[in-house]
Amino acid sequence: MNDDAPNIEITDIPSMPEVCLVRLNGDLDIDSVSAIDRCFSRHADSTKKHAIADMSNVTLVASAALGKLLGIKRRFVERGGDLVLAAMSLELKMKFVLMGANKIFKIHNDLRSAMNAYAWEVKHETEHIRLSFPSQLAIVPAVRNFVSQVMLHKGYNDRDSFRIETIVDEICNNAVQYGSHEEHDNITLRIKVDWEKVELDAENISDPGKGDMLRMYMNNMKNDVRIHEDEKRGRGLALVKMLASELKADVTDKGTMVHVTKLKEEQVYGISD
Amino acid sequence: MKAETAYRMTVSFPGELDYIPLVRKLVSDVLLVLHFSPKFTFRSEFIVDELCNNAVTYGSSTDRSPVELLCETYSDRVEFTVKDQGGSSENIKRLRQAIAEESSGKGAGLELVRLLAEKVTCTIDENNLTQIHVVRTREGL
Amino acid sequence: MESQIELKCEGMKGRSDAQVIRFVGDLDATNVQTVLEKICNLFNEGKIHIVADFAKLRYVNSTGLGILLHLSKSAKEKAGSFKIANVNENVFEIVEIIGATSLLEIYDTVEEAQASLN
Repeated sequence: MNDDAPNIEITDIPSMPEVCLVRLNGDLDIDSVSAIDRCFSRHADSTKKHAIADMSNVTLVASAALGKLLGIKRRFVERGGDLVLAAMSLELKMKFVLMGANKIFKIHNDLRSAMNAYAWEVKHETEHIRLSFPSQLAIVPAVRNFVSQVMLHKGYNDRDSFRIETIVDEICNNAVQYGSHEEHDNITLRIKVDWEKVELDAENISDPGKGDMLRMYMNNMKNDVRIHEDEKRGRGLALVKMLASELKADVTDKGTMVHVTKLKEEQVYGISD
Repeated sequence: MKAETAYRMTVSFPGELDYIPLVRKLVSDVLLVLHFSPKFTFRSEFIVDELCNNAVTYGSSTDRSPVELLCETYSDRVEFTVKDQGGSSENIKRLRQAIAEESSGKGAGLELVRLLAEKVTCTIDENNLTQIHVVRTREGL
Repeated sequence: MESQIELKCEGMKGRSDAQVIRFVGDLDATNVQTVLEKICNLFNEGKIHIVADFAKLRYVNSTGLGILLHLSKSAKEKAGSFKIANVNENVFEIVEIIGATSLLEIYDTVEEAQASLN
């Protein structure tokens, strides 16, 4: 912290070179305005496009200081970035709402959410989710519903989310059906969410007693899936093939991994946002 | 189910607040499937919510390491472990304070977890890996 | 995406300074701002007596309770009130554990909460 700027400290975020972290402290009254200005002029060089302000130790924001923050926000917006606020106390948040400042500034609940939002919204970085769950059919609905909610949360439309839910349902049901049901032989589902596509990996632990079933399953994977009235699983796989952009399977002695890629609908049809 | 037969479920997700409602709902849905009562499930959902909120608030603020939730169900209890990597030393200090101070506003969530669960332990290793472990016994046992 | 919460507002007969708000969904850290905005706007319009109907509030966490306590305090500062009615058993238990039953005005029904205003 600088002696001449007791209310502000600007630091780098190692993993995000173009973002600076601004820690503001105490009462941001009229006297602190010039210190905020000086500190920004000195530290927030033009290579920083985006700033996240940690408001957790701020007790008051006077209108002059709010005006200054707005001015700084404008500078970042001109560079193609933004100044967002994070970790405000409830009292401060309420004051911001009463002043209407919540309509001007993007307010995040905590620093980490602010950084993750930046990585996703601005940098379009991939988000990774991993689930490991007992190999039981009864658990699959909870899992597929979770994935569907994640897709909606990440901006996939209802139709895509529903289709991805269907894919998850089928590949997880298969993983349960053709895999071991031993106590700790869980199913692992890895989800890689991008702006344009989602990749799903469902992996089970093999059950030596189910070799024949697995071979039939693999044949279905390779060939065009014919829909037999008496073959429930074949139908599931046909559905996944129709809904997914890519479907691959890898069988080893240890288990089977099914990999599915599903492009976002607007990617398939060339519709942009 | 034998008392020591455990079902284990882990969820690893980006340390972002918006994921938490989805994660707590997943846990709640799974507990209902495993025949835990709605009341027990609701309380467990609450515990998971508070633990994850805590991890996101106090955990890493400099990189995008994930939060990991481990949920182990036994016939007589459920155990939750939330692991989080690389919290800043300042945040770890605040977390320690929150754990130590019963009435600290910041740790209100954790304090509630303590009231709802039988056992709450927290470990922070030299690499700032934080682990909070909670044991909650099934009612009527 | 935040947790699903819907706040449905209705006026109260003969009371231009009061409003019934039906909370539907989950109240947690992800939707603090939505709730604050909605209720602050009502305060700004002079509707300083709020009756919150929790019949369809499924879930609340410590952050959600923090909001409720804060709104109750703010209403009192404006010489108004923030009353809660129809709290489900699960939510009530959380309110009780945090020791907020004495800090919040809780009624069995919306009608009782409304009657207490007169």
